[in-house]
Amino acid sequence: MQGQQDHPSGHDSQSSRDRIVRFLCLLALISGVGILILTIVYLFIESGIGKGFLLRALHCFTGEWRPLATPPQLGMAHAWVSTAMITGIALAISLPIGFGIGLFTSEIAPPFVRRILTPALELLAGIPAVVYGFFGAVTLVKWFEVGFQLSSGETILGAGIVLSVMMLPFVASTSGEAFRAAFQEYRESVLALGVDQITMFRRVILIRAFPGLIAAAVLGLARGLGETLAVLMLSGNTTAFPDSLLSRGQPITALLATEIGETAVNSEKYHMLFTGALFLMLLVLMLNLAISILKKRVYRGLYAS
Amino acid sequence: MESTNTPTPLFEIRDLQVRYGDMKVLHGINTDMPAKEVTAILGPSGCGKSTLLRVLNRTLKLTPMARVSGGTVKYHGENLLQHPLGEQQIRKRIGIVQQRPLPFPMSIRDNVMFGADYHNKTSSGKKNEQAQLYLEKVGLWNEVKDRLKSPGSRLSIGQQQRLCIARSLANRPEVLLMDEPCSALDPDSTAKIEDLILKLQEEIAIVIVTHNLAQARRVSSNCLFFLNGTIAEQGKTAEVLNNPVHPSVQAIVMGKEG
Repeated sequence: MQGQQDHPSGHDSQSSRDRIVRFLCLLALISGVGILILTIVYLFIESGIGKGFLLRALHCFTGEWRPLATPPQLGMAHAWVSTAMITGIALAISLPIGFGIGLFTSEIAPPFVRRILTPALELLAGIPAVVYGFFGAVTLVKWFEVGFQLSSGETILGAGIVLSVMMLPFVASTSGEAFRAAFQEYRESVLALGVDQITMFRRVILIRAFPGLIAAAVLGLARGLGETLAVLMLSGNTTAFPDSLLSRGQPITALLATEIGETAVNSEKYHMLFTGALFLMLLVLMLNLAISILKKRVYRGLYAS
Repeated sequence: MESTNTPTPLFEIRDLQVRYGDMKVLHGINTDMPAKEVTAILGPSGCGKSTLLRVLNRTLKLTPMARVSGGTVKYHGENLLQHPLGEQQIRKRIGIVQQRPLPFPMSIRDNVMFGADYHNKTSSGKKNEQAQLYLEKVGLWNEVKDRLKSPGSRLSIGQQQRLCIARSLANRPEVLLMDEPCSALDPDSTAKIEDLILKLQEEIAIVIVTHNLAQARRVSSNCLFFLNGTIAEQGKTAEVLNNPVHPSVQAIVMGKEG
């Protein structure tokens, strides 16, 4: 480990101090990555890998969730669909608004507005999920009950809307950074050619900021997929298969959180819950990986460096 | 060399003052700049040379806190700062080439035609011809003709700078302002750009900011010597550089300072 860190220059105290710092940084990195790897390994083990894992994995995405039936049915299809619907709604709302806020704070807003807006957005990110849950329960849930004449106002749509507000600070600040950097780099050179602001934005800024916008979307998506409490409180948390935006649902995180406490260790249900957690984890990891590859490809195609 | 009749100057600058916040950067500049000649602006760093270019190209307001706090600039006898043609047309006619070349995130061809596309709505068939014309003008055509669709940022720095000059020329400007266009370049690229400047002066006026006295001698007929936000000396380049009167300019020209 140490060998490859060696530097050909000198053997004085400076270089040994350098080596110690480098070693400590490497140690920090290894422990960080190590925790990630151990988590995945742990999930694999607890999902009962080896003992009918493939069948369980297939069932995880297709079957119904009826743990009390005989024999128990442990499919989680409804949860994956709920997660996809809620996250999809949240992204569809938070991306355009978040990019708009990002553009506003980076370029359009006068400096004093920017000084107020930026920390306000950061505060929004710090509000606990349970508060968002309560907020949604006393607003959207009530309104939906009355507005759509539902017996219970907890819906996929409501959970998606509140989740979009939770994603917003991440999307807005990351896209804001991307826009800010692009404007700083190109504003003067582009406008000096006598073109208008819209042309500059459309043909230069948007392309330059594109990787940052993708990163913003991924951050938002990862936040959305992992969010548990607020969506649990607002989606209705029922195991029925959601068939419309106004039906109740149960995202995968809510299912795991609800069920794990009352599940016997190493039972079939226990393994199934861990299989769900494993796939959720792999999904987020793959999404990150795929998009970072895509980002580079698209960026190279558009811009190249 | 000396012209016998004096036509209306391209720019007439009177008592021009510019501030960045509370800091005064230009303290009353007075000069005339002729059309179709090369004017060099010389002087140490931070004395307001680039600021003057920004005033002429109407991009000063893009710099935070910067504003013209007094004086007038006339362009063809009309007030440049509130010209009836509007800011965008002025920026098109008075092009600028920055110190650090900055290709836009698009192909070489689209880079060249970026401003021209906007101003003239070039049809895509003509785009290639036009791009070729300006790339030939800056001597880049043979180097890039097989990769017009590859990104501008893949070129070497010297090529990028010529690409940026082609981009400004495609706007068909009447004046080209150049802000130390060779300071990031190797001697070979510098020579190419100097040749280009000498060729271009037959068609357009050029104002070049430079630190390099030898370069000013090679390319310019007139020169302004800036010191601390004022013009310490101005006139024909050869005269100013051979027989400077101002003691600080003397010191710099003789190589004692600067």
